[in-house]
Amino acid sequence: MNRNMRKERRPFAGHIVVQVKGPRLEAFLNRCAEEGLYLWNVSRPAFNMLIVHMEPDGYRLLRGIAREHGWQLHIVERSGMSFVLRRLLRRKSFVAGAFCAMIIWYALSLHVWFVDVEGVDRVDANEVLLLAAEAGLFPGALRSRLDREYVQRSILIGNEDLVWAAVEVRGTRATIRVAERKLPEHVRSDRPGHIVAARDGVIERISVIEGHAVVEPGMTVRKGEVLISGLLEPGSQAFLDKLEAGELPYIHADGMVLARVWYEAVIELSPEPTESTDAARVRAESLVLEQVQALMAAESASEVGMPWLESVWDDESNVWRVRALWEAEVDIGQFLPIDP
Amino acid sequence: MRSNATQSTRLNRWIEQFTGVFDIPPEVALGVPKTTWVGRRQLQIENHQGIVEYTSRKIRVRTAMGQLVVTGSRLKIGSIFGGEIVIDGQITGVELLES
Repeated sequence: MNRNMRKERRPFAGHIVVQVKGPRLEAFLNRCAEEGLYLWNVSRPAFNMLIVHMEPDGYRLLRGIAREHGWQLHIVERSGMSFVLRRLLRRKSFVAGAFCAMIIWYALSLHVWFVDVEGVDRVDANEVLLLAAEAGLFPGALRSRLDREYVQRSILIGNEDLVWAAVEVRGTRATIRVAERKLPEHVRSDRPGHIVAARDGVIERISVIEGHAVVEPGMTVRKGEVLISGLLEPGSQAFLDKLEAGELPYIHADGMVLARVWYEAVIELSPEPTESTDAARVRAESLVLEQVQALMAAESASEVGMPWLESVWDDESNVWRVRALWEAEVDIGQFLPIDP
Repeated sequence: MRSNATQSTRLNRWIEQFTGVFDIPPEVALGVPKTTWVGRRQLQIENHQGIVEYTSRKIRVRTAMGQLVVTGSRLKIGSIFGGEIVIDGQITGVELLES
């Protein structure tokens, strides 16, 4: 053993307190030092008795030394993790309980226990849940058996009013996000009026059913601008007939105006305690893309090209600000009645 | 006998000079004890050669220079490992008995 070496103690090793009885206890201490045992808190309460603290690992060696000269050993106290563990392991039902708890925990983690529906307004959430359950997503379903694509398709097929659905499973919680179809406003087809732009865009194609087009493909239009006019051509027979009948010289304009527009979605998301900043960004980006897709689906827009993503980390409020822009083609025509 | 003793002291003196030149700790080169006395409460002895007597009032330790006698009350061995021993307690005296 290296002399003059201060002993490094292993953490969590614990210690034992041993009572040593016999003659010539100085010799006992010297033998221990020779063998490289580390003893501390050595006290001698009586001439023939020593109390020493030592590492549990050294006890075997100590017993060997004690046997040589007839010293009697008696362990007074044990402390340390290994002793606690050994004592716990001796309790069979405790070990069995811990084992069972682990198995139950694992078994429970294999299932989906909560199913949420987001984005429903007119449609009953229970109906969505029912459709999902039929497709295999219900509380208690095995996660490994779950086919998200199939569930999404089944929901869309099962309910006419839903135009988009996404299933996300996080842990034991599944979230179904849906988008409802926007209902067209019911307007009397004999009501006079124009088709105006519901939003800004670049005109792609116009099909006029009634009235006459006032914009051409390639033109940029602002929200509210007239696209298909319901005004009859001044001086024409129909125009004069309307005036004679004492009505405004308008008809019910109708048609389809396809335009290129931008869909935008912005979200703010802060990382969860267990999540890295980068993981949070990836999650935010996929969420914002889903949102923009839902917006387009709700208006039956068809996307053009790839989306544009912009992610900014805000150090002060600890959030990701993610913006998604996606170009799409959509009918921007909206009927605007002209009231007499 | 006599010549032997003078020879060993001459050797020791030579080693002392050697260690002084090369800055080697003498307790390493000569095997002499290094004793650190911390206040009244603790005495650390390195390079000892064994405990001769241990009671709560007196601890005698053998060293290369002779016996080191530590007296006091409620003396305990704080730790013992290899050639190092730490004595705790109310220490009132430390004496070297040359052999």
